[in-house]
Amino acid sequence: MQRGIDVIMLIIFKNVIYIFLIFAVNLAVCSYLINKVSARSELRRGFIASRAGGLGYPFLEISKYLAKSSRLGIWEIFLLFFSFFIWTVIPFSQTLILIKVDSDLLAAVLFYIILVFFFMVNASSSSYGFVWNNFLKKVLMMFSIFIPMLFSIASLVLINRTLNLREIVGFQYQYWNIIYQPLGFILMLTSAFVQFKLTGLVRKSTILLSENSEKEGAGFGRLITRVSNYSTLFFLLVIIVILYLAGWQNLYFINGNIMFVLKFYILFFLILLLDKATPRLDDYNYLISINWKFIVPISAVNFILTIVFFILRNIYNLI
Amino acid sequence: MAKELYDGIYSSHKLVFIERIEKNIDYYLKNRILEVKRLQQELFCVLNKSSLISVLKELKENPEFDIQVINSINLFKSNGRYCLLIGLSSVANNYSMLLKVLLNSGTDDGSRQEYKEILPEIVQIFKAAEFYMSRNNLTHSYNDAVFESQVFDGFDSFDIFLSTDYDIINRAYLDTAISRVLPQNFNKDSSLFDLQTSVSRYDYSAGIFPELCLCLAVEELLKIKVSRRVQYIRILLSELSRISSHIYFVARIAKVIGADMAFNFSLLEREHVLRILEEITGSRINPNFIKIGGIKKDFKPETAANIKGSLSGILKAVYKLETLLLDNSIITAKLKNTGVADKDVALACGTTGPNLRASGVRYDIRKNRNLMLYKDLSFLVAMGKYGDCLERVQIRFREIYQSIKIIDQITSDLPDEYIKKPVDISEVELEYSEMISSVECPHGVFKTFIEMKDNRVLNLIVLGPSRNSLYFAEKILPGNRVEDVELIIASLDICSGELMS
Amino acid sequence: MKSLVKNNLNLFVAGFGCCKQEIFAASGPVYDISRFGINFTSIPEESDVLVIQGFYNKEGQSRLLKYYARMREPKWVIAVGKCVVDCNLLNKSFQFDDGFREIINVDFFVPGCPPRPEAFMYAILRLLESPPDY
Repeated sequence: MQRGIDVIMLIIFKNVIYIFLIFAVNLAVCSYLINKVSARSELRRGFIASRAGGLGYPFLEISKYLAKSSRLGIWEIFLLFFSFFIWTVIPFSQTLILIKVDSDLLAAVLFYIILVFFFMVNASSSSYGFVWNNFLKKVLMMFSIFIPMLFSIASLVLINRTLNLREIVGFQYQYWNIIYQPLGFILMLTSAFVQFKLTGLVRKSTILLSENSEKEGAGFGRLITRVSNYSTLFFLLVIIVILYLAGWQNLYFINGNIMFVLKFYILFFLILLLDKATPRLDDYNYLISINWKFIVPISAVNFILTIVFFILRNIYNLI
Repeated sequence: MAKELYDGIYSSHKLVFIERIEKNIDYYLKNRILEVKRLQQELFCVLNKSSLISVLKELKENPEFDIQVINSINLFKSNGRYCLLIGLSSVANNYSMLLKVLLNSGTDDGSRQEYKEILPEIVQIFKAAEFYMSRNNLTHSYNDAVFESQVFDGFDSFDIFLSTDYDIINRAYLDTAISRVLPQNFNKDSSLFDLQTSVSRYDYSAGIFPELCLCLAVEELLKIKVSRRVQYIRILLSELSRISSHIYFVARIAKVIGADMAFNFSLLEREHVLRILEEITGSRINPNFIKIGGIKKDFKPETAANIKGSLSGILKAVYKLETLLLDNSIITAKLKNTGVADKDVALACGTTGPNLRASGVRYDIRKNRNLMLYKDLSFLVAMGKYGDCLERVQIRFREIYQSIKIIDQITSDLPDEYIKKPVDISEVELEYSEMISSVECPHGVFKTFIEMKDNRVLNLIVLGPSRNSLYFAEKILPGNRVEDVELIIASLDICSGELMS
Repeated sequence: MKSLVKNNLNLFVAGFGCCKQEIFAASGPVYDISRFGINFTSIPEESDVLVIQGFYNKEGQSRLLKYYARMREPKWVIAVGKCVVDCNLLNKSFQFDDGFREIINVDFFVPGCPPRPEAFMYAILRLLESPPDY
């Protein structure tokens, strides 16, 4: 009995290290890409921090935050915990997962919503006190973008008839879900893109910085917000890859893990280029109008069509 | 033949027009005015403080004058006496005039006290004069949002106090506390040589225009006639700096909107234009090139060919920049219908330049007056209709195209003349005299008033257009959202150097 | 610690004047100051270097001191342009008080009216090479 628990603990410990490693490597590569690609698209060269073409950039960025004198706020500690919690339920392969839950899609989405909520709280609290007015506005901006995302996830779940991410990937051994749900994929990508722009990895966003100017934990705390910022982006991309692009399934003779990485970076690159081609998107009225008039109705139509399809196929056996 | 005839009609018409108004002033205001002069297509009156209010009323209500716009009020000291300088202009009759009001008191504090007393009476006649009153009580009583001056260029010399209803602005107040300078401290009794080198700092985004303005004034005083080649070179330089200033404006707009690619591309293009300017004058933004009676140095024939060759590249790049910025539906949706300004509001604030033209008023000094040799060149005055931010951006693009057209005409046939050496300033001998001159700079009409004796400049008063734009911003901000404040103020192209005076 | 900060500097450009457009011109593609890891920020808390340029009256000076106090350690100061280094060209009487100079310790002076973008970049590179003690 005792030995069994030990083995389980060892496996979990090994998986934690793996996940940390994956996260750290992705952090370095993505921040390097953001530095280089965004500079190239602006006709510039980008930060040449070290001799190896700017590979030292992520480490310098981290060390800079650590070197400033600062204190840590309470909300940033919450952010740190949740940006790690989010990775406990998401599988990176058939075996690499920390906590095996039956409905881990539900848990992941829940964790993500809580993480973003903490983002908002952290951004709205300053040494002057909590700014309610802007907080509610930001929550509305951010969470109205979630609605099309939730709709497309729901219609995908209807097709695959499971809430387990590993089963969803297993379902796509023959055809990827993007074939069944092309509209859902586009809506999901749009939603992820808008969230990426709002959280502002590339340039400063008003959502995260407007009240932050007087915040206490600006040194190490900023590092944490930055890391959890990346964490939200990774979550969105990983979820899209798992749900629509068949996760770690092999493609002909190519290894599934390599395919996972390839798909992740193709999506990342796409979002980065789209970001450069569009202006800042934190105009409240424009965002809300586009969202409620355009994206949400399409996702609702997509959801209804899927339901009709589901009923015809599974209840009346017509298709 | 036809050209000479046209020139004759054109210039004489203007002169007759101003002569008529001068005669009218002599007739109507004979007892109340001490002196009337015509200084280079503008009128200049001297009067006592006691008769000011009645004169202003007469000027406003008499249809012969029909003055509706107050452009500026300045307090200054001339010949040991404190004076007010009031700039007025009429839209219907197309002329402008300056009133020099002699105040009673001779001390520093007494004059300020008088200034404070006289302003409320002026406000009752011209409402736009309230901008020049001290309104500190507004800042404390009602404001919900305060924007401190920011790092942004063009958004850095004033604070914004807003009273808001949720996110719609009710009332705005722009406070220029950090850029305010007492008028006694500026340009007192400096030599003309010093002033010539430093005057371009007033309008730093297009430094050639203050120099040009000063030189035109002094040339008029000394009665110097400048050769055609010099005039063409001056026009060439001023159009080049107009292009660079407008491109910089586009860069600022792109920065506010967050369009990174357009921002960097416009900065790159600005460098190309500045390179040409640097090749001719030797400096990027403060050229110190235009001298009294000429220019610093004539350029070689191949330079003109070079400029002409690089024009097509600039044209292409500006066109590309326009498509990059304005063919984007997100950007146009943001620009459209924000900061809409009526024709009447724009006129009442005394706004000039592209901001006024975007609201649908065809007023351009290059066309409306005999400014240098602009009448020989063919170009259009870019016009808007609705006066929103989108139109203010578009009008700058159109002006760039027109400037390129002008430069193309100049470089293709530059008259081949011998350029005389500029006048030696140290030997200038003049009686005490006053002069007004104005040029059309990228922000609006840049006007200076100078008082000179020998080669000393006793007073230089800069009446820049940016102040009027600031008041204009106060008027158009109400009704817009708080998020758009930056954008609207950036779209007015406020140059903080002019606010300093 | 300062050697860690200096490779990734945030600049806070205070004041207004002609030097400002030349400083921002350095961020364009031609001069490209960001390849040395230099960014411009509008929040004093985030910035490492305070760039003083342009014209200041009494109100502006007091605001500058406030910005300086809000910046976190380690911090450096660069003074750009004739207005700050010596006196204003348009108005000889306006310059910084001596008391002001005692509070703010300027590390580098960039002369010129306005200095070219290259001159500003040279000052930044000197700062990166050998950051003075703070």
